[in-house]
Amino acid sequence: MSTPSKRRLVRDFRRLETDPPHGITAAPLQDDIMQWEAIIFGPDDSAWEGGTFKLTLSFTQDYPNKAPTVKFVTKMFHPNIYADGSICLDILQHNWSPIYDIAAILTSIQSLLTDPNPNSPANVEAAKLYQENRREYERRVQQVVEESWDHDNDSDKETDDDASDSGENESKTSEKKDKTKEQEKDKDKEKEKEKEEKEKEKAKEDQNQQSETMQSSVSKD
Amino acid sequence: MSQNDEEKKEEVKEEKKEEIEEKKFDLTDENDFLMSSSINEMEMIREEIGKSQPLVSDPKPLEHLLKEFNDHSNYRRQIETLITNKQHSAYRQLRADGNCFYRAFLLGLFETVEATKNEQILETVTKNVVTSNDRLVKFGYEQFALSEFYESFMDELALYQSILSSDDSSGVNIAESTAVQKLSDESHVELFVLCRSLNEAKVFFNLKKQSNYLIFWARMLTSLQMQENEKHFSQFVQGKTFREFLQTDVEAVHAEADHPQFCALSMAIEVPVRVFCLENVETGGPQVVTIPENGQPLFDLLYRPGHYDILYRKS
Repeated sequence: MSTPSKRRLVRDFRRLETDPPHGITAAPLQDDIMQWEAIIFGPDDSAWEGGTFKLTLSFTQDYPNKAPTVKFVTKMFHPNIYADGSICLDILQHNWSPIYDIAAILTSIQSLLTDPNPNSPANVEAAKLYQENRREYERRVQQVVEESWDHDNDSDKETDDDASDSGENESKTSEKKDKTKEQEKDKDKEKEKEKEEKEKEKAKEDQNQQSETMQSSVSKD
Repeated sequence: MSQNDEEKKEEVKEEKKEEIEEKKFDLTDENDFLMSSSINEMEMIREEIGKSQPLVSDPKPLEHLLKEFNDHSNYRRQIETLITNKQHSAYRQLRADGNCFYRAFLLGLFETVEATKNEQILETVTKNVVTSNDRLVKFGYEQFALSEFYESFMDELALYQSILSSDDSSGVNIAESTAVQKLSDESHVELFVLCRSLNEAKVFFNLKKQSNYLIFWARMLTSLQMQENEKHFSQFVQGKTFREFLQTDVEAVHAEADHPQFCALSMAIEVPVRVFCLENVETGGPQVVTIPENGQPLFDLLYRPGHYDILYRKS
């Protein structure tokens, strides 16, 4: 039986495929469209650069009238991310609106990484360091970034000990990671090119009709 | 033309794809009832309220209002004025879940359409709503995120249109029950009795969802009206940008409505409403406000700080 929430999730998926936001991938689990996995790549030119952060999104039949439950699986160090990976972000809580799709949610989380709100801390230590000792904060973030490569390459749940024991492995995995990252970047570039061309065409067709997209306004805020 | 054809092809393709994708995910229904493990606090409070109070109460005599304000002489005085004025026979209490204004407004509107059988009202509302989706897309909203809500609202208008244009009086009864059901709680047994056809059974199973869809579109109509008249409405915004205000105070699912939202929705679908305002003042009241000012109000709402209910005029 098709339900409004599933219909909407299929549309969200299609939108992600046709117009993927920069540095974000997401897809439903193979046998359950109500459960999603996503990866956010750490934004360039920030302490988060190079990190690959895995998340889960869990939807109920009330979606999109109700926000999904979104959690980081990768260990994080961020003022607004709890120890269990839950995220303190207004649009996932009291400011949720059905106009946000999965792309918009993940884009907002991505910009939260580089633009934390230390006034409502979920991780007191991270919030304190962010405000008082930015250098140490960034060192801790980079630690998390490096750990994210190991975690990402582990098939599922190997212990942290395993990963840190094998120094050789680590350098290999990071090499591998760099490669996949480059590929990802190339992909992104291609997509951007395509996008630009499309936009040019569009502009030719109708020069007057251009308005800010919802997405850009979301990511700005 | 060729573009149109292409769009059609694309649509067919998409539909097929959607069918396939939906089949693939069919096995998951039983999981859908599992609640997400970490419900945030506000959500829990809302659910608590939900257990103790229906979304929409039965109509109650105004004297019941006095009970709600036992220790508040300022409010009691104004309620007594309402009672002695004998303009109203009853009020309907709505759940205070952040949606009360929109719920009250829509229920008031649809009940008025039923009661007056006034096609003119319905035509005016429809005329304004029918273009709303496209106008929102022009402001940069994503079509795919809007369509389900827009269609629900249009379906609802079409349902009343069909009921009004048929002379069958039993049809009106059905409409009456539908409005209350859709915007009210899911008290299953009573509603089941009211579900006379398969079509209505469907409605019944979608109740809470249905009302959520209608209410969210009312929010979008409000937001659209504000964006199209940004110069006027931005003067009510303080401490945040206009865009932020729309996101947090209009489009967010539990954002309470204030006077600007009231004006915007009323203007958006050209439905004038009269509000009786209970306020914590020593003398006078209740203050009566018609929105917009020069309109002929179609129905009445009762306001107290932070909350709206529906008032029923004596016939």
